[in-house]
Amino acid sequence: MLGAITDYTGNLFDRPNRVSDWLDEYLPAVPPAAYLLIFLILPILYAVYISFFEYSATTIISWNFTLEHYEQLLFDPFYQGLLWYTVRLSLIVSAFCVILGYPLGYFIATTTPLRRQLALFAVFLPLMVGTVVRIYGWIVLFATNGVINTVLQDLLGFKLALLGNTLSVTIGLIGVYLPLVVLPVYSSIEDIPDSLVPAARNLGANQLQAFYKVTFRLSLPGLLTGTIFVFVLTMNSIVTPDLLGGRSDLTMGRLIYDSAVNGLNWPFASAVGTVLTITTTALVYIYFSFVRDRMGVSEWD
Amino acid sequence: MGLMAIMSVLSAVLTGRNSRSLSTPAVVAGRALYYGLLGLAVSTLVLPIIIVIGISLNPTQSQAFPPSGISLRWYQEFLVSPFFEPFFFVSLPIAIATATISTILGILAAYVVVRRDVPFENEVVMYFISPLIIPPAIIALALMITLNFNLLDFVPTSAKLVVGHVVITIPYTFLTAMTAIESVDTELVEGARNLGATKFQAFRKITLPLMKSGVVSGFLLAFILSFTDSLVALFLSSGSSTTLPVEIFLFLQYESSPLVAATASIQILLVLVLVLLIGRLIGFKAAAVSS
Amino acid sequence: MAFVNIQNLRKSYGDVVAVNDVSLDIEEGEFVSILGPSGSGKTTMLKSIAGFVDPTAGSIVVAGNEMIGLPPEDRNMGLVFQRLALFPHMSVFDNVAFGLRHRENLTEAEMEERVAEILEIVSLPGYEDRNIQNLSGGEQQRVALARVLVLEPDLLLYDEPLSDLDRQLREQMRREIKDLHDRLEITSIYVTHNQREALTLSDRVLVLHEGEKVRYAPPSEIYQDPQSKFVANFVGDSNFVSVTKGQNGTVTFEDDDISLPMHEADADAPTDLLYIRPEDITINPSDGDRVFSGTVRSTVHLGSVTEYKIEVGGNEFLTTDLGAPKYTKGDSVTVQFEDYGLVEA
Repeated sequence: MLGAITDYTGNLFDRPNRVSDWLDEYLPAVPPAAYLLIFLILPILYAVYISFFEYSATTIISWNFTLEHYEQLLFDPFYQGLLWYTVRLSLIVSAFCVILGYPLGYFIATTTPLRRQLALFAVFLPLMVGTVVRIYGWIVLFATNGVINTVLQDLLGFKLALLGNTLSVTIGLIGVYLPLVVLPVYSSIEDIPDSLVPAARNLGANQLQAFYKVTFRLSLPGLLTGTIFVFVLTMNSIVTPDLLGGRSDLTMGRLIYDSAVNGLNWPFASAVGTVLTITTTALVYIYFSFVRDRMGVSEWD
Repeated sequence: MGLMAIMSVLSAVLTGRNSRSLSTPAVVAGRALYYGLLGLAVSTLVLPIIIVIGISLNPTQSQAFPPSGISLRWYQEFLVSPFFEPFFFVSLPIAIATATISTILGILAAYVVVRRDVPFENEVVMYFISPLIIPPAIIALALMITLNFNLLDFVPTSAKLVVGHVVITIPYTFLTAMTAIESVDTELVEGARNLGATKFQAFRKITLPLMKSGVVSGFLLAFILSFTDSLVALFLSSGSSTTLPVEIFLFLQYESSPLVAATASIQILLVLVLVLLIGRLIGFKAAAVSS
Repeated sequence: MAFVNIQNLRKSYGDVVAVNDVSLDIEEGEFVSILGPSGSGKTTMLKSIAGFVDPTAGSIVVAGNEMIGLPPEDRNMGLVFQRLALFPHMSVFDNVAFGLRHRENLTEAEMEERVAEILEIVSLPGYEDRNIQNLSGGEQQRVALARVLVLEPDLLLYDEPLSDLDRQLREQMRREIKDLHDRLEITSIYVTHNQREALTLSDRVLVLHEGEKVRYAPPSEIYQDPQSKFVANFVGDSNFVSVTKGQNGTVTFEDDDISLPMHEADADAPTDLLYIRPEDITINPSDGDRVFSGTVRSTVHLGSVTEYKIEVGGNEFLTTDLGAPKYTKGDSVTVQFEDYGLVEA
């Protein structure tokens, strides 16, 4: 708690002027900063760099400049379709995560403390147990001899092909990324002062108007954060489409994995990654601008 | 804007408890929709986990749910299965090493950001949480082509896995450490300095003990994320240094058996215990929000 | 040279000047308050002395040694913090012994003796093993004092340590700090925005306003001769009236035909602003000079005193009177201006 009166004071220490002071001030942050530079920033730049060179079956990269990977990705109908499939899948998954995630986030923010703890646990644990474990759950649920088909066989005498199609991929991805919408939505609704909705009602808004104008508006930053995370991660998903999808459910992420790990075509995989990242960033930017302009979300964190 | 309509109905339903128009059909329908969506959301999250645990208890090869009986047979099988080694001799040491390094780096970065007057503070924070913003597939690919460079052949795969996992966990240890350091009043540090402690002594005797729960939580988060990661590990694993999630992933390409369920259940149990511990230390909210 | 000698101390943050060329001498054993509203630079000054803020310019000499450039741990000063800064994860003993462990080379037995001795002085004997969180507010204050006193500092610094306390405890602690200073005579600097604390505790008071030194004098002098409108207003309440000076040693209220004889001391004052303390205005005096008629505009009962606003001519004056309200709104009264003076606007 701050005291009743605080003077204008600087931080604990002031900003340094000399090089030696600079080191003394910021030295502790040098190892983590250097770590990310060496093992994150530089590798990504290196990946972008090699995407402009030819692939060689013997040396992986042959240092001849080329744009062929990008030409292929942008003009070959197969790869165009693949990018479009990935975008569509990501949009659908994001939309369903909002429809399922917003009510749950709202529930957690407004329910009793005990239920909140339980619900938070039910959201946080799946987020933490890892993708593969959860996908395995869906596999045994959807498999030809899986839980659902066994019931169907017993009751109705037929089975459905539930696994290995876009539907199973979509459901799996929603399950995996749902917490990423629930948690920020919950957090932003909980941060709304308790008095605002009653104040809006007191000023003549009915329940719907008060919800829309206060709660929903103020939870938009959280909803935005959540959907952007879901969208970006679905665009880049590999494990879920691989395990739950069929041969045709090829996403850009799977293409990266196949080209880099199985095909050892690093330049092409890097080009796929670059195209994917640019597309994703552009779409996120459009979405963000749209929401900002239409909904007037000025605060962004 | 159809979404908005749904949301509006939802709110009507939620606050409908004190409303006089409780019995209107629209409100009843909206309420049903709200609880329907809640149920669907919760089952989407929890169902796969319950099914995995249920199937692991099957006494036979069958992957029936509910299980046809209760047996711990597959847990015994796990001990002699091809999953045992990746669990204890690959994933576990990698997760411990990752969490240790990541926690130290996270505290160092957080300490400077919180306690020193850093120019462009927002940008610096963004830099340290950038592994959270850059898609993991891109990070994994970039690390793979860099670390599998010929000159680095002498580096064991497990070390490369640690390097990659530290990258993806730094944002979590950084953010939990930031919150923890912020919770220690600067007056306490100044107090220690005034009583003769150097900067380092003040950090070690005052800040560090008082941020302990944040440090432990960050460590556990990093441990879990490393242990359960299937993406960076998918690109970097090879041969005998294949982590448990990747081993399961590869296994599932061809077959599926209650053995996988038992292995997955052990992983779930481990994570469950650690998550409860984090909940006790800093609360689910703090942990969840920093994720 | 004085025991503490601060020369042209200056601290700026970019374009913002927090402390603007303040100089200050403090004699050994003196108790000096730095008084000012929030944002006046008083905490910045204190933290510069303690070593937590690097001044932009100036010098701070304590007991003959230049302090600028020394890290806080190498300055032998005790700082009592606003939020006390007791270490919550340590016992009372470990809090008090913290400085001894870092500053002095003592055996465990010597340390125990020193801690017991100082706890006796602050009237907390036998509190060594107590947990900080289980102490009352007053006890925590005393531990905070013991923790710095045990080191026998050259200089004791207080950063508004009483501002978070309730009124009763604040009064009690104020008396204890005064007693302690009278007994130990450690040179002290006390930062506060509370004029009552500053006036009652100090030998001299430094008044700061927007980073500038406005006044440095003993409390009685500051109160009786504020010299500037800011001090007259900040240290006690005042009524202000614009006046014009007449040839015959009088001042005349602007827009009014009320004239008052001028004090000799004010004859050369280059100002047209008159201040009158509320307690220097008497309502319905039995007799005397400088009596004018007025009308009561408002009455507020404050318990032991009653506050009136009285219109005299074109001006409204705040005044106080002991006891319950004797006059009500609209009453015609006479007022006497017993004392007043000129200040700089």
